[in-house]
Amino acid sequence: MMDTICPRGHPSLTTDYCDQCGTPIAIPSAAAAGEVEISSVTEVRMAEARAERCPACKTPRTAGDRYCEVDGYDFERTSESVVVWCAVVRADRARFDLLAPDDLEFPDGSTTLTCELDTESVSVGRQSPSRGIVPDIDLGGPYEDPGVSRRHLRFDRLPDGGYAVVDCGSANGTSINDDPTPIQPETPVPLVEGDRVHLGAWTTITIVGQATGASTT
Amino acid sequence: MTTFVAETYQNEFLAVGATRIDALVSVSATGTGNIAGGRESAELVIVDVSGSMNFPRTKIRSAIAATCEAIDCIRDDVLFGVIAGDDAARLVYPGGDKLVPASPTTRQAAKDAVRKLKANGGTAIGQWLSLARYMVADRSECISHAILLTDGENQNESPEELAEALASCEGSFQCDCRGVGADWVVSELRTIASTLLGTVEAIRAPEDLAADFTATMARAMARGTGNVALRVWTPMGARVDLVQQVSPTLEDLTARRVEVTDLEGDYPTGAWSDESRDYHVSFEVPAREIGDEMLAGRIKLVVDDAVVSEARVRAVWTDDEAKSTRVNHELAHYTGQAELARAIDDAYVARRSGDLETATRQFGEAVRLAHEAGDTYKLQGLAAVVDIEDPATGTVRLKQRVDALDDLALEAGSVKTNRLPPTG
Repeated sequence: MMDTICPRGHPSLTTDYCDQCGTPIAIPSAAAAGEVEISSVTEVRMAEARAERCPACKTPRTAGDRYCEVDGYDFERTSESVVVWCAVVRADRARFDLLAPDDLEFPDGSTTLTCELDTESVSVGRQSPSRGIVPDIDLGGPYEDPGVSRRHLRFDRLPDGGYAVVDCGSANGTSINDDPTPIQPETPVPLVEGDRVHLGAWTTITIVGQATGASTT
Repeated sequence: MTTFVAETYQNEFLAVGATRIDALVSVSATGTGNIAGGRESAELVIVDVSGSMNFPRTKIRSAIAATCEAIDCIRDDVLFGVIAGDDAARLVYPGGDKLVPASPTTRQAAKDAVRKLKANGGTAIGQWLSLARYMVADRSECISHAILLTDGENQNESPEELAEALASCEGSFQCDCRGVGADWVVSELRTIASTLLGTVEAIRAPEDLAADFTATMARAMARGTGNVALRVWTPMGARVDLVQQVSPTLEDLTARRVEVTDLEGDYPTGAWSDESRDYHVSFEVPAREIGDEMLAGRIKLVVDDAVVSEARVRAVWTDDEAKSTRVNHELAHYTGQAELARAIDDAYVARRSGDLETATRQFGEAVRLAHEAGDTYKLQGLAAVVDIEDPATGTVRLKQRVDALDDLALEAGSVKTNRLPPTG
């Protein structure tokens, strides 16, 4: 079965709004008037031919221009698919049981947080307004993991579109998958689909890449 | 056929950069009482027979009479039993350790057993609940419900023991709690009822018990559709901030989330009869550009894991302030009701700790909010506890003497909300 593709390039099983990012696919609404509102894949493709949009930032392509005027996306690049990378952040009970000191309490009931990696560099840490640190993925506040440094790590985009994890010199270090040895600070480690990045007292970030057939032909 | 209809009331417009979106989701069920396709039911009456039920003697007599009335309301073939509780719990009816199907014969036998009850001993509610759980443990296919009646504080076990018993009961049966007399504790019964998806009522006079038991049992018998949950979906990068039932009573469900997928979680709501319930849901979403639209949430009604209805919560970013600052009428009504309930609860917490200044201020705030909302029921309850000088500004004085029953009624009733009359 073919999935519907949302305007942001995610495959979606629902045809009204994208089941990944919530972007409207088929529902007409006052706000979306004049935008693409078509449900089936073929029709979406046809609409793209009429009003092609940048798959990264949704800006309509200026006729004849090769690059998106907002983010410089190359409309004529030849790759067959675009991979959308996500960081899935969760409180990891197994890790907590293994490592955490007795005086910490596991945050029962905390939710899984899924963040799309969509910029050159995505920082992870705990926010500190007084020190002006506002990480892209904040593990303070409701997700408070006391073992995470203010500036803990970042995900840097690689030339092939994938991501590498870089430890920013965190106090308690960062490890990957089942290898308990912390990675070297400021040394990028390329990640592949399904890699688990461990930090703090209980946080595990799983890297998920989804190939979407959103090439522009 | 059982039909659920879910509707959304919201202002979908957000100002540039705004990330919080609120909505009221109103759910109505019809056709739930269809017995032919309905589920089996189990029903327990848990009655306090501690020594204090003898003072006054009418309490135990009324409790026995009310229990008999409740037994009469149990439909044929519903599995049932009666538990008597003091510092332990025992099954008064049936003999043995299995519930029996209701019939004219078994109902009569149960009433005969109940009429022999004597009040004696202490109060250990955790033990009563544990026995109830044991009785329905191998009946997971049933919609199980209990009525619990007590007149006093949980004295013969520690709060931890009660909490542990209560936690083990969660999800196995629903429980409506009734307090009679002036010596029970609202917060204690509310914790039990809240965990077990039930209600709390203050019964003023023992003579009123029978009528309440009959009504409560009738409501329980009408619940033909069990295991209903709200399944809330949010897009990547978004999260659910609040899921609170706001009608007919206030009940925060946020912490009850059970993860289904990375983007979806279930909030159990128990069994339904033909009724309407309203929910306030809030989402924190990543901000988008002006003119962008996003589905912030999908709220599905799920019965035994099958989706029967859904409501959508949208977010649309606009630079038109007239749109983004518009207040949704339905949502504002319930936000006011929640503030009113909080003011009453805070007032009692303060009064108990001896902080009369805060108590007076909170009661005043409650009076002001009730006056503003035209909530005459709560205003009456408040007037029994404080002298109201000016309802518009919330100027009040604590009464020198308050009838304990008035306090219990107001405190137990704080979570009941007024349904908003439909507007054009």
